[in-house]
Amino acid sequence: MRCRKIEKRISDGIDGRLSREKQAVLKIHLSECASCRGYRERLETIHKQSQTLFTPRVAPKHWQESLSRLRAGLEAEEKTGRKSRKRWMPAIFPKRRWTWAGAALLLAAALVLYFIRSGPNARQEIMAFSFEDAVNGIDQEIKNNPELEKYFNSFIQDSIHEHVGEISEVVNPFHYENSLFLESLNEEELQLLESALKKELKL
Amino acid sequence: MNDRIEEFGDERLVELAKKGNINAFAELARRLQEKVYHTIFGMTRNHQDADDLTQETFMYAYKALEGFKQKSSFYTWVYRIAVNLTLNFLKKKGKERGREDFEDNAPVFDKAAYTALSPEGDSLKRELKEKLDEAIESLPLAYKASFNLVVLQGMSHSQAAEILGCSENTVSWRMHKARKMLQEKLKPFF
Repeated sequence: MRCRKIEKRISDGIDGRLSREKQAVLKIHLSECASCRGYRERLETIHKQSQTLFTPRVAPKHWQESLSRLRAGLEAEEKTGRKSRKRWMPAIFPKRRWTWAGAALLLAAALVLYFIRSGPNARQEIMAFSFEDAVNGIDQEIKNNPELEKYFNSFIQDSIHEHVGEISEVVNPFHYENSLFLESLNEEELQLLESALKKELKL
Repeated sequence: MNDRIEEFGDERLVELAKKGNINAFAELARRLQEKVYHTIFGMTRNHQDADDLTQETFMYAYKALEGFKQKSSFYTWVYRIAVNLTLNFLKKKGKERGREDFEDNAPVFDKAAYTALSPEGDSLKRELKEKLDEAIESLPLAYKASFNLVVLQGMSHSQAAEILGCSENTVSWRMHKARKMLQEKLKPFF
């Protein structure tokens, strides 16, 4: 097995994610390859050192104060936020709630159309990260390695199938939830996502 | 009621909090605040930012609680909010973010614990840690988030994937890439 594949397997091994069979293959390779043994040692050192870096212990008093601040914020939210939200709608359209239902439907339809029909540049505006930077980064990494590209596309496509149902639900207060996922897609994968969405939404 | 509330399970507390019971939500926050703080701190590496974002996370969670369909655990849901708020924050803050020295935040830290984490002895080790700190800081955000959850918070790929909203394979791939980048940057120390 090639060292490039083994590197990924070493990383998975450190996180306890390897099957017995893969562990056995890794063991054999490491017994024969000094370079990969060195790589594993470096990763293990990084892993151990990282775990000692960021573990500040905050004094218990701080947590109590923090909770008091949160409680004050929650009480303020209860007094102002919830009441104002409840009063806001009827104050504007006291007897026309159906108008809101229609407006909501129109807005939802517009958002769905916008999401599907607009290009990647427009989509970038609602994402947490720079789409183009991410795509360029991926291209740089995989362009000279067909094997890597194939592997990458394989699991990204799995991700698409996992997420299409979730994305199509639309009613989701955390629209940014999928930003990490979308950020990872290249043009081809975005097209696949778009066609899957169209199929899902019967457009 | 308040005495008993500490004995309630998370699901019962969520039900009460959804009805506007602040004590129930505060109890949920009490159970999670330290873990949420550490997760955020792992990415911001700044006490004040982590503290503010922890507060923001719970406020956001409270406001959005009605939309929480309990498909995942409350713990996972809050973590997801925390991670996404932090990623958005870091994205906005970008490279302008300065790193405060721990000493600046001394009043809230347990000094003994901190000292134990910073051995004076081995200067090479200390330098490696400093460089490792910088190298993690420079990772792309998506990689940094995965690295933080898996290595610093000790989560499985599956747990991290649920919080990050991606597949286990994606987390696995990001871990591999993050480690590869880190070891490249730290080569002089090996």
